[in-house]
Amino acid sequence: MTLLSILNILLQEVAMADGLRQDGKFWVVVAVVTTVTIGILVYLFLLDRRVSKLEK
Amino acid sequence: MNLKNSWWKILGALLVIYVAIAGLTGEVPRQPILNETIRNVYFHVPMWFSMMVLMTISMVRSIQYLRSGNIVRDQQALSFAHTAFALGIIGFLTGAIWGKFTWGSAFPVDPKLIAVEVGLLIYAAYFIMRGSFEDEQKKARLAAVYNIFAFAAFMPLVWILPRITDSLHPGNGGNPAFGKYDMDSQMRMVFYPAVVGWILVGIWIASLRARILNLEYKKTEI
Repeated sequence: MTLLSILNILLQEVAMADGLRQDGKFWVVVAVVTTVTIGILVYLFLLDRRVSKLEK
Repeated sequence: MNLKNSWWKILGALLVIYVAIAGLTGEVPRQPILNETIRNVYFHVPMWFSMMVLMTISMVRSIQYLRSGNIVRDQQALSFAHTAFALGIIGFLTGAIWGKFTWGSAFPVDPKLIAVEVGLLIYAAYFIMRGSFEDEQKKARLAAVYNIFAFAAFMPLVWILPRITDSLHPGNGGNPAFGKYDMDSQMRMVFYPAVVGWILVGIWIASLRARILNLEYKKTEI
């Protein structure tokens, strides 16, 4: 029984988001997340510039 | 902001952008229960690493304040502790989401969670304590001493205590190194940049806060 159950676990496919990569338009999500990240970082840069100006 | 002094901000920004892309699209090991959530290692764990580094800087700034009496050091200590606290909250929340779907509970009774809750409360007391003093000098001095003790309490609480018992977190219960994080070399190529990137961005945000604090201080001085 134990050997069988171990074999069973080993044979089971681990579910991963494979479908996303077969044109589930996954790249759209990557683009959006990247845009948000860049947007926040650009905002941080602008904030930095403002503070620098105030310091002068 | 000139390029010579702010190259590390650009580096941090680029690393975080790289992690956003590679963290989502890169190959990860197939593991039961974890499934795709193993990618959270790139986003959840760096929050804590960044928090630790900021707390360390905050503690160093407090020591420097006590040695020099320079109020700027105290402002930096406060700002770094503040940003570290915010990163800790984000780390806690992201951990709760991750835990809900893998451990089956958002807040399981886990030594690491309890340690971090207590640790964050110690830091919360630091902010509250600061608010209860009128005299600037006295406030800064006592806060600096408290901050050093807060750091000295936080680190063993989070790093040592969970290892003595057992924790749901990988790398606890025993004395492991990074080897136990279930990561392959491809994941490391994203994880390490993520840690460095978020440390740099954390320092950036904290230093911005400190500069604003200093401007406010100068304004009230005049």
